[in-house]
Amino acid sequence: MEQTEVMKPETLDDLIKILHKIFESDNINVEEVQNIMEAYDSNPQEWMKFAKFDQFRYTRNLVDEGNGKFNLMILCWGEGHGSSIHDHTDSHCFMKLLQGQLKETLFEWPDKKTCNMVQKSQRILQTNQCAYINDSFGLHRVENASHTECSASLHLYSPPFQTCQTFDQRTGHKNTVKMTFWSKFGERTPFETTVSQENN
Amino acid sequence: MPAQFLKLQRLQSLSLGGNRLQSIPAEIENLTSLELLYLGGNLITSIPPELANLPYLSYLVLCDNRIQGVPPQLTRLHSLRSLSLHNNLLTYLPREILSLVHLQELSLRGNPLVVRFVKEMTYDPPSLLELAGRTIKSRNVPYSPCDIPCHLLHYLDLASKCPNPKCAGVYFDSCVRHIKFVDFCGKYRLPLMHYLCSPECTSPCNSNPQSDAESEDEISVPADRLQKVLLG
Repeated sequence: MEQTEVMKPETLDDLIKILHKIFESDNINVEEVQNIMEAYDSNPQEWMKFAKFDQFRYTRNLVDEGNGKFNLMILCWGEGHGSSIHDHTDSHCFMKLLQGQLKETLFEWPDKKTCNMVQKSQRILQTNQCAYINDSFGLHRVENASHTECSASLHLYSPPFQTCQTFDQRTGHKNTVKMTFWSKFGERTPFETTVSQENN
Repeated sequence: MPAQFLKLQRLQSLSLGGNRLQSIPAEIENLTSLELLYLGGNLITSIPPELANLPYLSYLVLCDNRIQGVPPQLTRLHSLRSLSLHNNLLTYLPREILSLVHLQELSLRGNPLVVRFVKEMTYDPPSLLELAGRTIKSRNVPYSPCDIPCHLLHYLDLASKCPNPKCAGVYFDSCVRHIKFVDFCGKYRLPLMHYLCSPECTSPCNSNPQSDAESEDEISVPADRLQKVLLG
C-alpha cells in the first residue's frame, strides 16, 4: 500500500510543490488533496499578486498550470458578486477560501420536466476551509453574500477544462460557455477576457 | 441618508451596503458625478425614477432588498454597465430595459419572476368616453374649442400614444399589461412587460400570432453582444 505523507504546506509555493507531486500519479485521492489544501494557512502576502479584483464581477486568475494535470487559480469576489449555476465538465473541483466567506448552493441536475431547479443544500464556507465537488454531486452556485467584505478563493481543477455548462435556475435551461482568465501568473490578460454573460 | 451626503457633487462612488435604508431619496439625482452606487442588503422597497438622472452611473447594486418594481425611466441610464437586482421581489422587468445597450451584467436570481403569462381574461373595456376619444385622435377627426366643451378638450389632450410603435392608436385610462419572454444579457426568457392600448394590439415582434394565451416571441441579442463567461 502506498504511503502518502501528509505534510503541512507552510507557504503557497510549498502547497503548489506538494500538489505537483500528488498529481504525478493518475489516481487522485480526493480527501488527501482536500486535506492538503485545507492545511495551508492562507497568507495574503503570498497570493496578493494574483488577486486582481474587478468592480463589476468576480475574476479568475491563473496561478499554476500543474504540468497539464490541473489548473490552480485564485478567484476574487467583490461584494455581492456571484456565479451562475454550473457544472464541472467531469473534473474534480477543489475550492479553498483564502479570504472572507463564500456561500455555496448545491442543485440537482435538471431533467426535461424541470421548472425551478431543485436546491439540495446551502452552506457558508469559512476562511481556510476547502470544499470539493464533481458532477456526480450535482451543480453549484458560488457567491459572496457579504455587502461589506471581498472574498478570495483558491481553486484546483483536475483535469483542466475550458468549457462548462451554465444553468438558468428558473427553467433548467443550459448553455455551454467558454471560460477565460482575467490574469495569468499575476499578469492581466485583457485580450483574452471579454465581458461576461453570466446567468446569475 | 444624511442630507449633506446628497450635496457631494463630485462623489464618484457611494457604498451603503448592509444597512437598514428603507428608501432612496429623490435627491440622489444631485450626485451628478456618481459612477458606482452600492445599496445591496438594505430594506429598500422601490426605486425612485430620479435615479435615472445620474448620467455617469455604470454600476448599480440593489440586490438583497425588497424591491417590487423597476421604473421604466431607468432606461435613461445610458452608462449603465452592471445592474444587480438579485434577491428582491420582482415579477417582471420593464420592456424598456432592452434599450440599455451597454448593460453587460444583470443579476436576477432570487426574484419571483413569472414564467408564464396568461393574457388577462377579465378585461375592463374602455369607457364610452375613452372609445370616442380614441376614435377622434387616431382618425384625426378635426375639432375646435367651439365644437366641444372645454373639459372634453382637456380630456382629448391627455391621450397617450400606444407604446407599440407599429400601432397608431392612443389610450387614455385603459391599457393592458403585456409580457413577452426575451433572452437578454445572458438571461433566458426574461419576462419583460409593457403596456398596450388593447389586448388586440399586436406587438412589433409578434410575427406569428399564437393561438394560445402565451406570447412566446423571443428577441435575440445581436451576436456581438454575446460574450465569453468567467466561471468559478
